[in-house]
Amino acid sequence: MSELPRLVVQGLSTSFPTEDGLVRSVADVSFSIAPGKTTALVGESGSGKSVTSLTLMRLLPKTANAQVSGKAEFGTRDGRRVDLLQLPDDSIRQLRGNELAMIFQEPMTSLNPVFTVGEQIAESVRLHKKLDRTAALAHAKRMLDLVEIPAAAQRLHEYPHQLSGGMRQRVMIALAMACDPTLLIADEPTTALDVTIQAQILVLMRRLQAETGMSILFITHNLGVVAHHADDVAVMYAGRVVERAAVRPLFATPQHPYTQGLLACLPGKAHAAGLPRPKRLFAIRGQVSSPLAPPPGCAFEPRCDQAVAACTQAMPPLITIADARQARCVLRSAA
Amino acid sequence: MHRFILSKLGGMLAVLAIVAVLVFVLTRAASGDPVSVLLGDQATADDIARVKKDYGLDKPLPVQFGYWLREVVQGNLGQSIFLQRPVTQALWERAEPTTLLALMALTIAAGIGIPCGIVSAVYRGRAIDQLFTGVAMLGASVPSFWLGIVLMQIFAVSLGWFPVSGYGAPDAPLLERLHALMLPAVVLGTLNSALIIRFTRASMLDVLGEDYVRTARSKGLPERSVVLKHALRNALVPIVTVLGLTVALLIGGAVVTETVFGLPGVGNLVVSAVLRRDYPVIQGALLVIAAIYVLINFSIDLLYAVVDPRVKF
Amino acid sequence: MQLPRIVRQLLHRRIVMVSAVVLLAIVVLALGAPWFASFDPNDTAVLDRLKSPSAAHLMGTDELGRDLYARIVYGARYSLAIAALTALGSVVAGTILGLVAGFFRRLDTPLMRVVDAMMSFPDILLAIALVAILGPSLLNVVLALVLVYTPRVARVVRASTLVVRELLFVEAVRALGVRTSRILWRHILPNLMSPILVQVSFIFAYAILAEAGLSFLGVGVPPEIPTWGTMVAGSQQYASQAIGVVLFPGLAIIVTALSLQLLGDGVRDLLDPKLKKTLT
Repeated sequence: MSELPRLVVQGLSTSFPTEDGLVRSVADVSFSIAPGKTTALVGESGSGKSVTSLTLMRLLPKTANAQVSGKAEFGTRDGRRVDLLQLPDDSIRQLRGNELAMIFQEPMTSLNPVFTVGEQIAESVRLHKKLDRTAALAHAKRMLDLVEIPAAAQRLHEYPHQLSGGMRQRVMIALAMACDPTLLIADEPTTALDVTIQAQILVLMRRLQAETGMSILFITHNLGVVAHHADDVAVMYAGRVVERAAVRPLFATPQHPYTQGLLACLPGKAHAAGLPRPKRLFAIRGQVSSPLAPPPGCAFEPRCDQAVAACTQAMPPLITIADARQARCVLRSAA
Repeated sequence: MHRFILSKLGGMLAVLAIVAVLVFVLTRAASGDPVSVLLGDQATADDIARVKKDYGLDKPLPVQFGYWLREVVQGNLGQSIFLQRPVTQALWERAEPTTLLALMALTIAAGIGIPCGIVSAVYRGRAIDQLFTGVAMLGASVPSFWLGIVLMQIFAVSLGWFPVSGYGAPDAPLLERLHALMLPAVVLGTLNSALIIRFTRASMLDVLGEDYVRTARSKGLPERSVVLKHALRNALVPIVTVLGLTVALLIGGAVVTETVFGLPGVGNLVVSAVLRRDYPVIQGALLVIAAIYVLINFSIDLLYAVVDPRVKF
Repeated sequence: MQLPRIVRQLLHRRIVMVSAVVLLAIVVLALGAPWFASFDPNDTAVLDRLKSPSAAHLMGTDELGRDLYARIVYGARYSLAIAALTALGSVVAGTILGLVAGFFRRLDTPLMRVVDAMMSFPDILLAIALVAILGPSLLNVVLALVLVYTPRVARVVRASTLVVRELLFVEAVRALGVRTSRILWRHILPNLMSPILVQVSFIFAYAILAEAGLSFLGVGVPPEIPTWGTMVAGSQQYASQAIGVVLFPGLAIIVTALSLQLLGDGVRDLLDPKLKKTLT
């Protein structure tokens, strides 16, 4: 049980120099993922969750000239602990698609249109497992079976545009799983899919996790998905982690005003807690501030109904308020 | 797939038809009398009157166009006034230097343009990109006749590495002819690589920003494979398009270059025909060149089907 | 007063600024030729023929002893005027054509087939043929070039029109019963301004090169008119004795065409992402 976490992120920051100034997309983000468990990174658009995942995979476009700092300690298959952010290029490439895999939000555009589905999976297998073409294709077919794609042998030779969105996402998952990853980063994998397909994909991912023992970093803005599929949660706002907790405690007793607001937005929540159904839907007032003009203190302060004078003084630190619970708010005190 | 080919074919025929109309109208506007144009200025007034009736030149214009088109389709492009031979023959005799020149120039242009465009895209914003982009801009600003004269002065007149003009005797070996075409091909090729560099760069940049390239990287593929295998295959369509465009530019550029270097090609023929008001030649050359260009574009359209599986299925 | 954002961004891009300055300098030189050239461009001085650049003759002299620098400065007037008129004419004609083709669906295919047909002729050849028909004169060269470049502009304008037409506000305005002509003029055309502006710059550059090429071949402007192209045409056989007679007019063409293209590119880079942002 005292196994080391698969991934420990400490103080991750990513900033982009733009014509209008330095944009701090991710600031001082810390979280960890236990082996075999799912950690969800929750936040609205622009909260920095996607940039976090791309930073970890070192997939930020070179032209963005990103400035990255912090540490991302990853436990490799052969027992070493490496810092993903410091690895030389060919080392990170060896991990990518291999132990460290990623699936993206847009299945419609994430597959290369001019190569068959089988070729694209086989390519990964040949690269990392050093199999020859025939063996790689056979493995690719097994992967398609694994993700429950019917008529896999035939699909192997089809092009992405011949498959539906849900099927393409399954192919993406097959691609990611092809080399037995120990950590799967899933960046809003179901957001672009129909609701019924969403459920199928999520169940599939849960099953694969149970079978292989891989960890999942699940990035989403959908709290419903988090409730059912995550073990730990890190809530992000304006590039920072504002609350960390295991999933049940987070939903039962959210500590940060932002998390409380997010949960209050769910119409069924009050009802589930036994309270009378609210007459009006709740929405957090205001909008996220521009990353170029952040508020002086806490980033959420302008929208917070519980704000006090101290909130505008300085950015509150992320403090541990209970066992395995952290919050970034002056209203909460350290354990 | 068949529907695709048929629709492209239909488009091509439509364009060819309009081209024919345009050439017909242009020449009519210039020379006034297409029959005398076809018969040459040796024809007597009686001949002309007879043929006019035969060809129904008292008939409305569209009918005349029909008669003219019928002749053209049968390969009769008329008789050159000055060269005393059928236009078709004159064009055929002049075809070799122009074709060889165009091919050599295309090879040079693509050979420079595509790799430079790829490098420019991969190292976007860096010094090498700015250099290539700048050079491409420069190439698009240089008049071909100027570069031709300057290079001719340096390499043919001063250094004597190449013949100053001409194409070699009719029975000269192929290598000698190619040698004579070297300098003009370099002129045309380097200047026209400019457009190819820009298009290749733009196309590669577009593709490199696509999601599937990010997926390829996330698989841990080496960058070279990402660029040359995953990205380039998808960038080919605009690149092939610009190669087709380049052919047109080369034909146009050949006109000037052949004049500078004294090559007995089709371009030179057209220029002298214009200066001498040899309308049958002008008309025939325009028609043939435009038709070739339309055919090339049609072939490129078909090529898309090969390159892009989304078109095939 | 804060300068509008676009101007500020333009100022940041050094290359674009340099090109603009160079172009301005050329225009000023051309317009104010008498003040900038110490010699009359038509003054022959046979004793001074084919001289290399010197203090007296900045660029040397041509085969008739005429000062090259003066000829280039005066020649700029003709070359620039022809190119400017061409750019203006083809942009106006091409915009009308492109607007109509892009907006009225039924006219789109036939119009674009005609455009395709016109673009099946290599530019120079079509220009040569047209000048042959119309007769060699300055105005006819302009007319011929306008006909050559109009299809190009039409294609670009049509493409942009198609995009703008699909925007919801056009549907809304139509639903309000606004007349089509008003839609085209007040709503669609303003959105096409940036691609049109970019085209002006490029056509200007192409026209300079095209006119030079035509004149060099002897099928353009009559040789008495001193454009940069006719200068090279007239003096080319003396190139081995004094390369300057060909070198300097060519350099003038290169500098002008390059500045125009850099300017057009710079403006397009600036406006394009904005165009994409406003359209998506």
